[in-house]
Amino acid sequence: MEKITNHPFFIEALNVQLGFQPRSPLSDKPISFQLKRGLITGLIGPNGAGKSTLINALVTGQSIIRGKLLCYGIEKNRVSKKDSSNLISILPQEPTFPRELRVKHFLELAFLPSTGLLKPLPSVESEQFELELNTLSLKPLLNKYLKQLSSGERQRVFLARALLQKPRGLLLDEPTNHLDPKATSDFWQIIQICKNQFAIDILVSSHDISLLKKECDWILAIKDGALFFDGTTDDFFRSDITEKLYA
Amino acid sequence: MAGGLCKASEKLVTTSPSMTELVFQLGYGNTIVATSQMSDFPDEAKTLPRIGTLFQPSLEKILGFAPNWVLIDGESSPSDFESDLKNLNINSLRVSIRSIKDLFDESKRILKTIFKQQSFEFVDNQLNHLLKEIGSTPSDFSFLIFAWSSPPILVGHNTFLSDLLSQFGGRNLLGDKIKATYPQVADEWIIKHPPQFVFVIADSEQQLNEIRTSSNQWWPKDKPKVIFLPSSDFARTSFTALKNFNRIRSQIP
Amino acid sequence: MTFKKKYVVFIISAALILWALPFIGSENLSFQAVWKSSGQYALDHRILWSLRIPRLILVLTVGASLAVLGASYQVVFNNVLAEPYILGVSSGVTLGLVVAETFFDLRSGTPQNIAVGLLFAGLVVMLFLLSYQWRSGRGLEKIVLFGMGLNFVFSSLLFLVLSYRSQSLGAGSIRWLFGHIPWLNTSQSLIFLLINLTFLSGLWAMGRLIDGLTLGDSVAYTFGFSPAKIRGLLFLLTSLQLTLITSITGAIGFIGLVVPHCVRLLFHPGSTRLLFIISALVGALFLGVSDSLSRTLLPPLEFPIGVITTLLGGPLFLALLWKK
Repeated sequence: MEKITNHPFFIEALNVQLGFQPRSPLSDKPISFQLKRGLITGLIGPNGAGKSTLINALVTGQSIIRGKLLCYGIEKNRVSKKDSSNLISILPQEPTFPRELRVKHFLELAFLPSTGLLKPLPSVESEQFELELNTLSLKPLLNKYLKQLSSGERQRVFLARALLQKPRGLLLDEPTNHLDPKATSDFWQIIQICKNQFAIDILVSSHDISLLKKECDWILAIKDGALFFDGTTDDFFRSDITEKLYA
Repeated sequence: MAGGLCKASEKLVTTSPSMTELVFQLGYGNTIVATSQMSDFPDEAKTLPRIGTLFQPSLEKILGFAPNWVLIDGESSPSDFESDLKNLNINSLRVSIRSIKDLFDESKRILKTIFKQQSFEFVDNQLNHLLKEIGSTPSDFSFLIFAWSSPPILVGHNTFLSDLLSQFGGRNLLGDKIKATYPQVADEWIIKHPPQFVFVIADSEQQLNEIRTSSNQWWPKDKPKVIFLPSSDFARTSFTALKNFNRIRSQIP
Repeated sequence: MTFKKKYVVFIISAALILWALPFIGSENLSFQAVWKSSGQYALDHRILWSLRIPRLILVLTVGASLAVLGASYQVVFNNVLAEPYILGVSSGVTLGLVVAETFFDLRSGTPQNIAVGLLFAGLVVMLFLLSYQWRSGRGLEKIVLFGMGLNFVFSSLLFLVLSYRSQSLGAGSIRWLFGHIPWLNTSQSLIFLLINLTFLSGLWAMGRLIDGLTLGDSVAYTFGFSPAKIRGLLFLLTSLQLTLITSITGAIGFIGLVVPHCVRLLFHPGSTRLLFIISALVGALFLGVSDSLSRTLLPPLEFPIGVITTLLGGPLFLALLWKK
């Protein structure tokens, strides 16, 4: 765990070629990049470019035909089960959830990997989680059923679940797709807190260009399975790359 | 059998092994042009063409034989069969044999309706013979007839086989309140009603042995006598069962 | 009603029902037969202790197991229509038993039944594993369809065999389709109970892993779980248990589908483990009551238990949905 904590990079790609079948990679051009710690990186690209494949590859270790994809210097298949949940957590694109569950029981699922088989799951209402609950203003929602929440509230709950894993890094796959502007801006406020207060490294995949421009420090752009841009947000928006990306 | 085969111009289709055998026994076997699957008694019936299974006779095939009468076994044919035949202008006679009395009455009805017979010598002889046999039987014994052991499926009161045994002095413990012909009965009722005799109607010795084993399990103390009634000898509602029962009778003291 | 009160009411009614069940059946037993075994009480005593008690053990075990199996599939497939027979294992086993009875003269000997059951279940599982669909989360729908396909094939083969031998043999073979509670003695019932308890404990232990699956495969990976392995292990265990049950009692429908639903609607359990425990209890009681009813509706007739579970379960379920 020590090595992980001190590793200088969040995510590294070393000549990676992604694809679903061994002989047909998404692109002939291998991807290489290194994402620094302490930043919010935006992942951008047209649909089908390979954004979800990349995120999926990070999380599962699958779909990597060539090269290495590392999180905190380790490949996915070399991470021990114990360390997995503290490494990165993900808020997937269309999260599935058991509809009949109360918010507090749903949140307690975050403790699954760290609780022994015979021990009870810690209660999310205990003091050690006060900070996360308050940041996300979840206290009034704890006893409600998931299906009773608005989509904005639900997204906050999903994010809370991801944070309660106490991860070093956070992956967000199109998190504000279905949210109204107010919910979206609330959500991004919380992300900024994650970066600044909780010191979590963040990778966000999104189509919302104006938001990425406002909130991200770094941009990773993928087109046709290959790396299209890897640099600061300012550099990205200074040029006409955006048009070329979506051409 | 009635002496020799009677000459008749009818063309008959029978829909069950029981009906086939009965018609042969009444002396009109040569009028049958086709019959159902499994009609293997008497031997002459084995070569008859088939028109389908017991529960699903084929109208098409029946038509193909151009019969003028179809003899329907009420125990197994589908309920709309008669009206289907009527629509095709084929005469049919539905026969239901649920007791010994039915056997005699329906035999006479068949002879009268289909073959236009006025006297029933054969049938009356059989009846007299039967009455003589019954006269010399013991007065009373209790029985249960099993068709299957697990789950226990019994033969009900309202059946030919049960009535046959009753005529010879037996008392079906299942009683006449239960109208079902092959009821599945709870083990606990069976335990509480040990009969003197257990009859097993089955195809094979193996089924017989199963019921013997079950019998020991149900009534370990009473140990009723188990008597095998092979299906080939007793399942059909015809005079064969009467004849064969005489063989069995010696096992009932 | 508050949460805790609901549980208390449930536990008390469960205990009462459980206590009453051995005394309900087609024959009225005198109460003293519980401890007196001689003379006029001999038969009653025997019925109570040698027939009804082992039968109750068997019935409660099967009811609990089917309910938990159904619950596990409903969670893993994230589908409210999932139930234990969805993979085609049970219809494969039933087909095997009917074929063995019809063509190979296999009789009611329990060890042989289990062997035949395992054989056919093995065939099904093999077909299933070969289809490879169980690996990915997106393949779950395909698994359901594949299982449905298997069910169709096996059912039609089954009816073909049954109509081939439409006479007394068919009557006995029908028991596999509608369920039948055989008379096992006390030690056999207890062995059956123990084996199933072992399986159920395994499922309970997997409860947390299954919970992880409900968040989606990607989240499960971040937990360090392997969704494919979890699903694979779950299908293997449940198929084995289902084979054992089906080779003894045939296919008893409805419990695996309806009980977990009712439990969810009434109790809103906060975890899969709790869902399993409550489903086991409710399933056991439900089948226990169904079995007693099958012998008391029209004594001394005994209706096949699968018929009763459907008759009871359907309206109950609708009533519950109506209320909500």
